[in-house]
Formats: sequence, C-alpha cells, structure tokens
Amino acid sequence: MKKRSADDAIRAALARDDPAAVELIWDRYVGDLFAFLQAMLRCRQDAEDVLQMVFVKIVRKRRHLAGARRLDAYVYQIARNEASRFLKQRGKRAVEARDGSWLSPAEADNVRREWAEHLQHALERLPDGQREVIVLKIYREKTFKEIARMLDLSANTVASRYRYGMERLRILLKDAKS
Amino acid sequence: MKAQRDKNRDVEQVLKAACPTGPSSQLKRQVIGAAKRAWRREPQEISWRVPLRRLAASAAAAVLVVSLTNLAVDRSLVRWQAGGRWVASREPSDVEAVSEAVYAARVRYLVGTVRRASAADWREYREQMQRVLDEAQERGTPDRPAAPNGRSRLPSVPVGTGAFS
Repeated sequence: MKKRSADDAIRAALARDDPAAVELIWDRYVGDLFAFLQAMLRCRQDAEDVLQMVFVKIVRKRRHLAGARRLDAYVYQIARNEASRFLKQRGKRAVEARDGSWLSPAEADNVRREWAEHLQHALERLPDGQREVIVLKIYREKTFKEIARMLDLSANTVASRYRYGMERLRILLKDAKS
Repeated sequence: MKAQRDKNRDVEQVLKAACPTGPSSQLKRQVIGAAKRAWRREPQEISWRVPLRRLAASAAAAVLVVSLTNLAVDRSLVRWQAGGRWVASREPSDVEAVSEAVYAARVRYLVGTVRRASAADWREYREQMQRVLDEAQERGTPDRPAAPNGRSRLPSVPVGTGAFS
C-alpha cells in the first residue's frame, strides 16, 4: 500500500514535470535497484556507474514512465537494458582492474570477510537469472510475486529459478566448507 | 516439500551472513545531480507536439516509400524496353570493313549499284510492287502471281541489282 502511494506520488510529480520526481524515485527504488544491479554486474563500482545511467535514462523517458501501467516493471526494464548495454560495451573494451566485491559481511572481522567472499564466489557461479532472484528474495526480502512483477516474469518462473539456484548454492557452499 | 524448505532455510541463513552494500550518500548526490541536469537539458515534450511529429514522420516515410517505388518501376521498365522489345539497336554497317571477306568485291559492287539507283527508281519499284500485291489480294489467291508468259510478274529491281539474285 505504501509502495503504491509512493508510485502515485512519482506519477504525480512526473505529470507536473517536477524534478523532485528524481528524489522520489530514488527513495522508492534505489535499495532494490542497487542490489539488483550488483547481482547482475557482480561489481559494486560498475553498479554505481550503471545506476547513474539508469537515472538519466529514467529522466529522458519520463513521459513514458508517467504513462506506464507498472512503474516498477518499467524501471527494472530500464535497469536491465542499461546493465546489458554496459556489459556489452565492457566486453568490447579492455577491462580495467576494478574492485569486484559487492557482498559485505554483516560484521567486519577477517573470518566473516573471508566467508562473505566465499558466498560471493558461489553466487557468481549461478546463472544470472537465478542470482538476481536469490539476491532480491534473500537480501531485499521480496516475495516471489513481487519479484515476478518487478522482473516481468511469471511467479512460477521466479520460484523455479529460486529453487534451482538454492540447490546449486547448497552444493557450492558444501564444497567451500569442506 | 517441508524438507526442501528446511534445506533452503539453512542456505538462506548462511547467505545472510553477508549482504550487498547499499548506495552511499555521495552516490546519491552524484546520481540525483546527473539526473536533474539531464532533466533541465531535455525539457519534457509538449503533449500536442508528439502526435504532430508522428504525423510528419509518417508522411515523410510515405513520400519516401512512394518515391522509391516509382524509381524502382521506372528503372525496371527502362531495363525491359532496352531488353529488345521496343528499342531496336543496330550496329552501323561499314562496307569497307568487309574488304577482307571472300565476297568483298561482289558486296562492294552490290552496294555501289544500290547507291547509284535514284530515289525515283526506287519509288517506281515500290509502287509496282504495291500494285502487284493489291491485285493478288483482290483475287484472293495466296499463291505467287504468275505472268502469262511464264515469268514472274514481280517488278525487277532497278539498275540491274538483280545480277546476283
């Protein structure tokens, strides 16, 4: 309900052509969007760059966004397109050495930091679709229905991606422990 | 099902030992600043302009398609005509060029004779030929017209060009 009213406020600001809409979009979407981008790009710095591109694109497409039937699906579609374009361009040019860590330990000690690295490597070995669903489900506490809505997928697809991803993770983490 | 859920719960607990970091306040400033600059740079399109622009684009596309179609039709017609139906092209003959041939002397004689024949002679020949053909048509006999003395009734070609016939 809160999310719907936030979306309504964004639509109203967009209809008025009010730049304050940018802040409203940030407040409503940035947490999930940034986690999603990190899961997709597997690099915090890249996610930061793409996040900026996403917001500029949202501004350019604001007329379409205001008329979109589902605001969240539209925003995630832009994010997915920008991330894909970024990955394609990065594939063409020489890859700079960037800090690849995007998963941080809940408490900062060496053991946990090491474990966080294991988790990150395990997540990176999953297919993109499974990794995105797991990150949104576990770290952003979204339901399958919400993820399906955000990513414009069916709830069954999201659930099966989650299940297969978790099975694969269980094996990978068991290997990491042993 | 329950066992599956329990297994998943174990992995979920393990995964929660770490989490993706959120955006920093510096990133917020940077992103919102860039977005607002883009907002100012690209003012929202005025609503009535959008259908007008679409109409203009559609009209331009239609004109382009019609012009290209016309061009393609014209080009294919020209190629078809040049292909031999309407446009008959003929290499100019040059009698001198056949001087090496076996019958060069005879050809030169024939051509010279034809050239010497006056226009009046050719006109008379044509009229005679026309008369003979008309008579044959009136009689309705498709056969060649026979002269009473057994010779052809067709007029002879002027100035002895029949010497080689």
